[in-house]
Amino acid sequence: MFQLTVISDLIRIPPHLFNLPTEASVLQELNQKYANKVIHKLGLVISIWDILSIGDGLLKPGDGAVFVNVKCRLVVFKPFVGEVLTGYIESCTSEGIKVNMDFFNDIWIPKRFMFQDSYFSEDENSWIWKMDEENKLYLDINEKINFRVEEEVFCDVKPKGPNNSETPQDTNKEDAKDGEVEQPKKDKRPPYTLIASCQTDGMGCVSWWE
Amino acid sequence: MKIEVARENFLSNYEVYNYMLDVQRDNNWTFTLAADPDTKPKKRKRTTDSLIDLEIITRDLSGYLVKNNQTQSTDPNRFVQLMQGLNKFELEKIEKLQIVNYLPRSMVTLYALIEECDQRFDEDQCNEMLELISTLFPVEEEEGDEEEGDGEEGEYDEEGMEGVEPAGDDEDDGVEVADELEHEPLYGKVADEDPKEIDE
Repeated sequence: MFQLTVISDLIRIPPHLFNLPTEASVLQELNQKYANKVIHKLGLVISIWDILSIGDGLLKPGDGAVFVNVKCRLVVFKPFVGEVLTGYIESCTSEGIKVNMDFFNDIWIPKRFMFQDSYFSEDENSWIWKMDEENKLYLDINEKINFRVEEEVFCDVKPKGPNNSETPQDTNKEDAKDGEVEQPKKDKRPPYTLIASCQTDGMGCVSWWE
Repeated sequence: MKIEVARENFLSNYEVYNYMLDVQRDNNWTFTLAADPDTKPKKRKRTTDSLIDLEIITRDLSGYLVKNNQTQSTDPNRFVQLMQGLNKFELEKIEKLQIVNYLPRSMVTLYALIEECDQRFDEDQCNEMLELISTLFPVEEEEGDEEEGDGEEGEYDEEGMEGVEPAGDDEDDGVEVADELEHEPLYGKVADEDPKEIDE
């Protein structure tokens, strides 16, 4: 589920952190920059694990801050394809199930990755797995569920524009209208999505298998 | 930013959890930390508003790990013994990692974690694995016969540990942590909006 990744970066230490020891200020800046952020094509950074090396401080004319080359290790949430994880069902739609893991909730189980003979019930607002003629198993909201990671999808999120002028807002509205047709709830794509499956023994609600 | 090594090593959930506890202690956050009578909770400096993202992820992640019982507060030696026991079987590194994270109790979960389990291992071997897990990490109710499975026969292969417990020096810090802690979450002020039930 988690892994260590080595990165190097140039960190800006603002003057108000000069009173701290170098390591503490670098760690604070690194955590501020990376904690709870998705690195494109890598995964969700949890926090800094340790700092491997800190270079000498560099000064830039016209800026009171110090720039430091840092090499550090990050704790990254990046499940590998095929890994089994546990989460909780956040919502069910006719397209699939959205799963929540508290700290990460962009997990999607599309209907093609569901158990065979399972169908969505509008009345109950849940997915039902028809095991045989008599037994029906329900995937209700907030159930604890096991799933297998099938695919990871990264979306390069563009930085937010600084201005709130008329033009970008208009395009946003148009986008929202387009989005309503396809995905009514998602107005923007998450940077990191896991596509999961629920097809083999041991998957689905944890309580089924106990 | 430059990614030097994309995947230097895997971490087990136990290691991550202990690290989260360290982070909480360093910052005086108390989401899953047991109350320590020596520290005065009121006297917390809020110099760390800039670390709000770290605070959120630490709270959510440690809450999740506690909720899913992936935070066995036992002696890390148990994990060493488990790995040594598992090294007898021809398991892939990631499969061992998943077993350590999940501690499967039933055949069906074991089959889910191990690829093509039915072809690679016979039933006896699977039962042996499950037995190894349940002796080293007994389920809460049946505590008492913990030490029986320790004497795993066979040659111990120390290599296997490297994959799952890469940061041995950090681990040592974690031991004290784990011993001191009951896993009773005390949510800090950030956690107020998000009350969670923890089923141990």
